[in-house]
Amino acid sequence: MDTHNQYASPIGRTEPAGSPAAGSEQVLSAERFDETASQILRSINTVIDGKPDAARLALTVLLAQGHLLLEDVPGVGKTMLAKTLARTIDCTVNRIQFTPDLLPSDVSGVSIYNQDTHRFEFRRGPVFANIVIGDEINRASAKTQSALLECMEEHQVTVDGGTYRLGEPFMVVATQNPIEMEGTYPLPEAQRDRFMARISMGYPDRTAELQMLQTHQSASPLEAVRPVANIADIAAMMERVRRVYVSPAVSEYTVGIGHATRGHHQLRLGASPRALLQLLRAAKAGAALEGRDFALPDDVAGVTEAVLSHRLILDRKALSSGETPNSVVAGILSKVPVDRAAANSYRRA
Amino acid sequence: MTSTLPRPLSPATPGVEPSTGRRRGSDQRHWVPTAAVFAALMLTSLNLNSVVLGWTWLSPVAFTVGGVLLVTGIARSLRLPGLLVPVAGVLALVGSLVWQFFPSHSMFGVFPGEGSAGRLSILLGHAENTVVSQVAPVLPGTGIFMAVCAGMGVIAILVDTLATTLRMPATSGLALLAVLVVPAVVLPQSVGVPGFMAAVVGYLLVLGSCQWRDSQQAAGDSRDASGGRLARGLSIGAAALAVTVLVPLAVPGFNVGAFPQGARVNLWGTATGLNPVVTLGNDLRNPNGFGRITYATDSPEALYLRSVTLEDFDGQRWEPDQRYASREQGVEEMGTDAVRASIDTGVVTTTRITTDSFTSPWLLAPYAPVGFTNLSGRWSWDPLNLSIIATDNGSTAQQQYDVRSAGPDLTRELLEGIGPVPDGAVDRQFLALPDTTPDIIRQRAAALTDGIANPYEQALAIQNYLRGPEFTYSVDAPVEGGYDGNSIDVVARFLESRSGYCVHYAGAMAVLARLVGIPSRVAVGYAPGEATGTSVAGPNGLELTEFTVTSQDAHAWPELYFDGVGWVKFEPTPSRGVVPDYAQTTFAPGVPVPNIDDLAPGGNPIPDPGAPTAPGTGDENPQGAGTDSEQARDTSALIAGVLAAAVLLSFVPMLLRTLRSRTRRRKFTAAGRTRGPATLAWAEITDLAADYGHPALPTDTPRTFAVRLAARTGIDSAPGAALVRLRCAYETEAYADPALETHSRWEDVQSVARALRDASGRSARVRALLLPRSLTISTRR
Repeated sequence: MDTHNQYASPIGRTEPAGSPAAGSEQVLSAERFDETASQILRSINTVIDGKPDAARLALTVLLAQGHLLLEDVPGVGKTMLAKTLARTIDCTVNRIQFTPDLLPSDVSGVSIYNQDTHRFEFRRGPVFANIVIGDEINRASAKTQSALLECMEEHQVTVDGGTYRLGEPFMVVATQNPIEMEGTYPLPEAQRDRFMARISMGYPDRTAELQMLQTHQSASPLEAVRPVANIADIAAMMERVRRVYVSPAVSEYTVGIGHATRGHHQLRLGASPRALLQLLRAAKAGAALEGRDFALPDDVAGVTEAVLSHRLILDRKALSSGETPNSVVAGILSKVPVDRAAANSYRRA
Repeated sequence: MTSTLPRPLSPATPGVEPSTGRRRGSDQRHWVPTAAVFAALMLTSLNLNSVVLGWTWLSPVAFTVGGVLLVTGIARSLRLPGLLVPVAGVLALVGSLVWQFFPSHSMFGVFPGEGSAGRLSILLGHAENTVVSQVAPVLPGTGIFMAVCAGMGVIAILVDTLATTLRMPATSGLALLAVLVVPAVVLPQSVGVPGFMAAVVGYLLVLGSCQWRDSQQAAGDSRDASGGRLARGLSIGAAALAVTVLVPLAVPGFNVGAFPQGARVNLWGTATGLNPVVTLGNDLRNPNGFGRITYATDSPEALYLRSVTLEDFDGQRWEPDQRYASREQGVEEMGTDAVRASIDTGVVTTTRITTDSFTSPWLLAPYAPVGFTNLSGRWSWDPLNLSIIATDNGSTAQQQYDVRSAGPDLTRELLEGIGPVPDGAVDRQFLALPDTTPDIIRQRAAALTDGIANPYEQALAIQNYLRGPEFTYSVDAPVEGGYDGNSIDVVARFLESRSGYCVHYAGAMAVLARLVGIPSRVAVGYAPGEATGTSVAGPNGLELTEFTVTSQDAHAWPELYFDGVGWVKFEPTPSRGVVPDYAQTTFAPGVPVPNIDDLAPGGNPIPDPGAPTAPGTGDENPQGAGTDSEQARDTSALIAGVLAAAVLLSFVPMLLRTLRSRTRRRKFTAAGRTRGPATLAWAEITDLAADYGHPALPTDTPRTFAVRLAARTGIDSAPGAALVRLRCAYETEAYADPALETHSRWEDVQSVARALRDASGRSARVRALLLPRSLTISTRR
């Protein structure tokens, strides 16, 4: 659409005086950021055909330090996306297949009595990894789900009085199947709030599906994926995202969207303040991926559907009239005025 | 379902969310605009008072309009499809008309039943007769009531559909205007400031209520903005009202009425039918003669073509006779015995008349007609005044016919020898006068004929008084003085102000003649036109001299009755027509009579021997000529002034827009590289886009707006790149860290402006130049 070089002075070249950039974290240059991001996206796109937007959103969530919920029917590549994202980064990855008999300790770890040392030793569960893939999370009992959700929120595990920090970066990519309801424990709305964004993969289009059938004949392309970034690179990219400038106008727009969801006549539950915080973080990551060091209202609008729609609860009337959270979000975006203050300033100009 | 990162770039249309009947009461809000439409129509209809006498028409109109709107409102409440609402309105209109005007021919009171069609055609005939034969304000009658109710009902459906169904309340003003146009056209100066204000208030009500409805129906956060829109809509309307009322006061000469009545449109369109008196005045005021009638005659003198006779004087107005029952059918051979007697003894004239587009139910003929040939259609004639009217809804349009006229050979000597009219020789109605005849008329009649006993001498005295130097000919003075018409009061005011046109002269002479006991009536038709210089072969090998008349020759003249010779025409109007030989006289005894035969028959007037004749105005009465030319000058000056003001006003938006653009550019240059220039440049871009019809929406980000603009106008390559540069600079300035510098060039703005102009059609360009829309976009959102 446009290139970042249309904009002046990206972070890393000209640091505004007195900005918090002088911190210890290493900040990636714009070029390096772009290069790494494109490599990751390219790798994902070689495995998941025809879903560049899903890949980009997954990376956005990773860089915004959020967790991702992949929700769709079986077989459209949810797990594949999660695995590919994990493989492009040289970091620890664990996969948990959630089943009804899975216990919280199977996720977080367990203290075992060591006969040799006569002491209890904590044996780390699969949650101790940089990227945790939780497959079919809605098959586990509510108790087990809660154990994972606590880890997501706190980035730590507390077992038998001991607290164990999780690795950084830490991202949970959970998948769930919304169609099959028997023997599942759907995530309560409050817990869905922990996920920064939800992606519905959708079926690939005809061409992409044909391409997929051919490339997946001989060997899984996943095997060919090699890491293109290490943990340090990702941390630096995250730091760059954190420093993306958000003007008051963009914050006001974000708040405007939040208020519109809360007062909306078709919604029983609107967006929480945490949701708006995550919306803005995702928008910052989106801006950084576009090569900008400041966020635009377009960045916010671009991620609003993914970030908000799984948190909104429609009222009965809206449901019966065929509304979906996505359509409500689209309606809200078409009504919330952009940037009253800036508009006024240029109208008066 | 797929989440996509980039937001769909085409902004979704606002307000698409189905309301899903959120509140039960919300369905009934349409009643508010409907009520406003009712109020507006009733307020506007008040102006009809000037075309229909009295107020008795008001309740049928209110019933009809109210009924129609009630039914359309109920149809909306029942959620009928939008298309069916006006249909329901039409049904309601038919029902209310049947209920009011032919209940005895109806089924259940509202459905047209047996005989309805016949009754309808009778009422329509009445209405047509009223419109054609009466002078506004017409007398109330069932026919005219039905016509007014039907018209208002149709307008009610139109306004309601525009304002409520189509949501175009502003356009509904046109339909309201249609109501105003009727009185304004029929009777100049009839739409006064109060009536016009009433209509405007009604219009504002419709606008305001529709804005209220829209704001109520708009969802969520736009409530405050809508309130602003309501206020803005009303303030624009109020400003327009103020301008409408104040501009006429400010522009010199534009001081008559509030409605543009100077146009004096001819209601009868291209047809040049002669609706008595007022149409006549309108025809005369039209600077360009229109319509063309040619006649060829073997008469040595130019002829007056008579259309109708006004003889019924009830004090309100001169009116044509209403003796439909006593009319005789067939005009091949016609005329009373007395008239036919002069075929052998008097002068017989043969005339061939070609009417072209002249349309009137009355047949044109030189007085007194005794037989027609080659005439199509069915015609009847009145034995008392020999006026000929179509009986089968026919008209004079596109006819060529031959008429024979006969009359005694009138001379001064013959007329001088005739005494007063004996009682019973002529119908009493030709002597009738209202009891309220003002004293000034009585005194004037007495003074003029003091000491004169001979009826002919009395008539001459009256004619010569009116042709005298005190009187001036003016088609505009009565309109401006507010005494246009032909009631007894108008005659009185005319005698005071001594300025008017043929209707006033003829009416005054007829009234004065009746006061001194001479039966009189007013003939309406055409004064002799101009000879075309060609001859035509007529019936029986006659050679006929051809003349042509236009609407400018429309004329009214008095006819006085003399015992034994019948009706004799006089010419009291200075500068119009030709004074007959027998009616010429001198102002002082002994002075020789001017030779009238020297005058061209083309409507050239008698030179007034008592007044100096200005060179170059030989064909006009000097007073009349002077006044006419002054009036013409005044009118031209007024028109020129109004045109100049209009032209100047039309450039005001362009000047304001240019000024805004210049100011921005100056600030842009001054701003240098500090914060601000990109914002200025972007403001100019959004304004330019709005001017060319692509305004930014409140929900637009700079990016969605720019993408839409590029897609709609096809801007690409260099201007496209310039647009991207300007957008990026503005985004940086508006959203990035304030410490960052921005770079934008005004050349980019110019490049985009050129591309926008090139991408627009001619009309869009003219509009962008003269009526830039960006001026009307509020600075507050």
